[in-house]
Amino acid sequence: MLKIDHVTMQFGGLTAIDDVSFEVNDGTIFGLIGPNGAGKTTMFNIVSGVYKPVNGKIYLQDQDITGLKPYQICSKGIARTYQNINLFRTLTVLQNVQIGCHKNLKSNLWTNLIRTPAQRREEKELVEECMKLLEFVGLSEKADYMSTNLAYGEQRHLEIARALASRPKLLLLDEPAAGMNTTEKKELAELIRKINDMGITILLVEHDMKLVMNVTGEISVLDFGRKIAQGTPDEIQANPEVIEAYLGGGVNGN
Amino acid sequence: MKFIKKIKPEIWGILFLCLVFLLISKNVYYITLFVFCGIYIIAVSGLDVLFGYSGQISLGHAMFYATGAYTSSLLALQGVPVWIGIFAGIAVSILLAAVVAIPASKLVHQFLALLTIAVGNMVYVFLSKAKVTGAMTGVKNIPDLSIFGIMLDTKLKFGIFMLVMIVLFLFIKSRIINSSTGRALMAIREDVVAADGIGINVRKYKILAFIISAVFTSFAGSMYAHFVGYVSPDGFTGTQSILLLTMLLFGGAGNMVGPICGAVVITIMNETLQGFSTYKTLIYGIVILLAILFMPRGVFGLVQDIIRKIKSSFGRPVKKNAEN
Amino acid sequence: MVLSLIISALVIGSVYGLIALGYSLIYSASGLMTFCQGELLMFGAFIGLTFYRYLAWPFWIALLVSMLIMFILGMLIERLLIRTILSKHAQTIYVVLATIALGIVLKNAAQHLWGTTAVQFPTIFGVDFINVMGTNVQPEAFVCIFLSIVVMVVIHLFMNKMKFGTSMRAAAMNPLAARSVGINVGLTTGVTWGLSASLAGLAGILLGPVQGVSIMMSTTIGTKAFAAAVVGGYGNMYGAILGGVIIGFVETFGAAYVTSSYKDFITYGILALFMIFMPRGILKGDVYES
Repeated sequence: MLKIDHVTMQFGGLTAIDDVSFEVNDGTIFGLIGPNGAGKTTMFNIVSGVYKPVNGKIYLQDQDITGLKPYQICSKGIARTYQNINLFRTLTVLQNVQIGCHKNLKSNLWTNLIRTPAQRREEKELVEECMKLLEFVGLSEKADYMSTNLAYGEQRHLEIARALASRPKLLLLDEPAAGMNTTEKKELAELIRKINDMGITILLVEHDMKLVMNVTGEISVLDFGRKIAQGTPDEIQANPEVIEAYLGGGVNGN
Repeated sequence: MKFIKKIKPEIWGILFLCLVFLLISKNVYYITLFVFCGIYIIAVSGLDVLFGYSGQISLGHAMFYATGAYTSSLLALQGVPVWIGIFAGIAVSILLAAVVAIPASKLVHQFLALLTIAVGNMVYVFLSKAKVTGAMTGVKNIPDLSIFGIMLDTKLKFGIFMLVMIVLFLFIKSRIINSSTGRALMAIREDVVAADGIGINVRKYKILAFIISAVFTSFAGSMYAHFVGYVSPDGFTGTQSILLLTMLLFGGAGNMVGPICGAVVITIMNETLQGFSTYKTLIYGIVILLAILFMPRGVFGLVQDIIRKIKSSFGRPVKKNAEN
Repeated sequence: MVLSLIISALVIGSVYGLIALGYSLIYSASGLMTFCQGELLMFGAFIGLTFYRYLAWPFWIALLVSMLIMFILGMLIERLLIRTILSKHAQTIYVVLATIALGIVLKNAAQHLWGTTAVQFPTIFGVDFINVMGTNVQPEAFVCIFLSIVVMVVIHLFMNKMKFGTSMRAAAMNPLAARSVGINVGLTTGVTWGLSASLAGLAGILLGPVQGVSIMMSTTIGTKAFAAAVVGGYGNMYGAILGGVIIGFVETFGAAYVTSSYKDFITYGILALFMIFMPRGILKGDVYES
């Protein structure tokens, strides 16, 4: 599904990502972990088009998507959530999800002005689809709430629903469990598995080790911008270099 | 015509009252006031699409007001039917909007504001110096507008026409904002990064917002020209741009009612303060400061907040949905 | 003829430079743009005029006291207006709008205090013109250019060599870190705004003898000084000065040789072009592009 091919990223003199390569297979849940500052979110930003790598290529289903703009990458089928929740704050829960589906809509300014039968049908179906997604993440009761009035955990769910609305092939989750308690994390793990069951490939950045080990099938570990290990959860847990990186570097994980 | 059924009875009521008001007004002054309110309602609603909905600031919007007014006036004096001139004015405004919007889509708020001021001033200098626009004297004896053969030569006829146009433009705005286009604009306003990431072509929509708002303001400008019969650069200075923004901020941006409220209140205030022309700009300045400090969502937002507080004090669960 | 043009260019260029310096200081200190520098220039000029002409104080005392008053005004603006808006977590654009509104209020206040007619700022040296290399030049022009240079050097030294100046730069780069090492960020931000207002006032007083003092000065000069700031690199102190000189020359020579009625058009056009093609200016200011 996704191939990261010898990607390097520099900001001024600082090398944030140093010749990293890995592959995410179709339909899997892939974890990207590493101590703070290892470059995980930078990697996400490269995949989603926010940054263009200095070197290397990104392939989505064998198509080169390196350097494309974020909205173009989204239209290719990648959606993401953000570390700091980037919801559309003064809009309602439903509107947030509706916007998520924007790229799939066929209507444009003119059909919106004239309200052709096709446009009206599309809007109606859109609401139905979005309500289904809200139900999927457990927010259907709160569809008309302003998004900032949701609880923190619910906001994260909303962000996920919004990303799902774009009908992605690959979903990037950037620290979705941050700030959640144990129960919420269990629900999140369930949700991630349900999304995966729908056939969506997932790339997960997360600090909570329990969650990562539980949910992912394969993990890649970054440290100081370099990949230091890749393997199944069990292999990674036993890997001495990984342990060293976490104990020697920043302290995190639960 | 399904949409006619959808218009709420309250709105029909208001429209009916306006019509009656126009017909029974013995003093044309009130009709004139009405027309001016209408002109600003349209202009400010346009600015709202740009600022309230897509979050882009324009401090030079009078330039579109001007291109609409001058283009249709000058063409009309050459014998072009006025309604064609109005469309021509809109076309020129769209062109100008594109020229500004394309670079503007890359700029962050404050620099965008600066660009709009710069271009707005350029337009003003051109209008006040160029021979073709009559320099500081402006354009006089602008012909009346005639629609379907009816010449709008009395203030009453123009007033009724204006009423229809207000409804039309508000209708257009409502259609735009309650659709995928409107949602895309609001997404850009709320979080550009997330909007980009979720598949919205931010650049395209930013430019679109500019163009839509230019169309509205340009039409309003043409209306001004053909109603008053005379335009001069004085009416298109930076102060005019600030006036538009004052109306928007005062009334409340990002919804249907705010701009109407702001336009009407400030137009009336403007007229009643004619005697205090030296204090006029001072009052604009103070109104903006008050609005920013105490009513960031304008009068409309304030009213909404009050209603919400009343509702919640009665124990009704308040869903706090965003009103658009 | 060319000599008098050069001198005019330098005079207006240094005025633009001083205002642009104010813009850049505030921007690099707080990431905010202020749109009332022009009005502060005018206000300062009137205050200076009041002391010098109406109260017959010696010029230098009038100048220094005016600058002090403007400094306090600037700090008050920051504390009462800017901080209030920022504390409401409003978008930064509201600060822009507030400064515009404030500019309007200042202009109107000046109108009521001093009237709308342009007033002559009396000569400082008692002679109207001195003869330099065959052309008649006002000695005040040299005062303007000279003082501007002095002020710019002083600011450069202050920001780079003195402790408070370094604190200001630190607070600008990273307020949180600055606070944690004991820098009073509120104070440094306040000083920045005060300093900018002071510079604007100085510019007004320097321009006074050369161009007279009127409320008309305010908005146009303020907007044109933006051109200076952007051309040089918005947020960059030296860019402000460079930009000021460039705009001063382009405007003066453009008016003399190309077209005098469209003079403003040229300046605004340059501002627009730079914003479109080179928003970071010549010295690459930190423009936070999206």
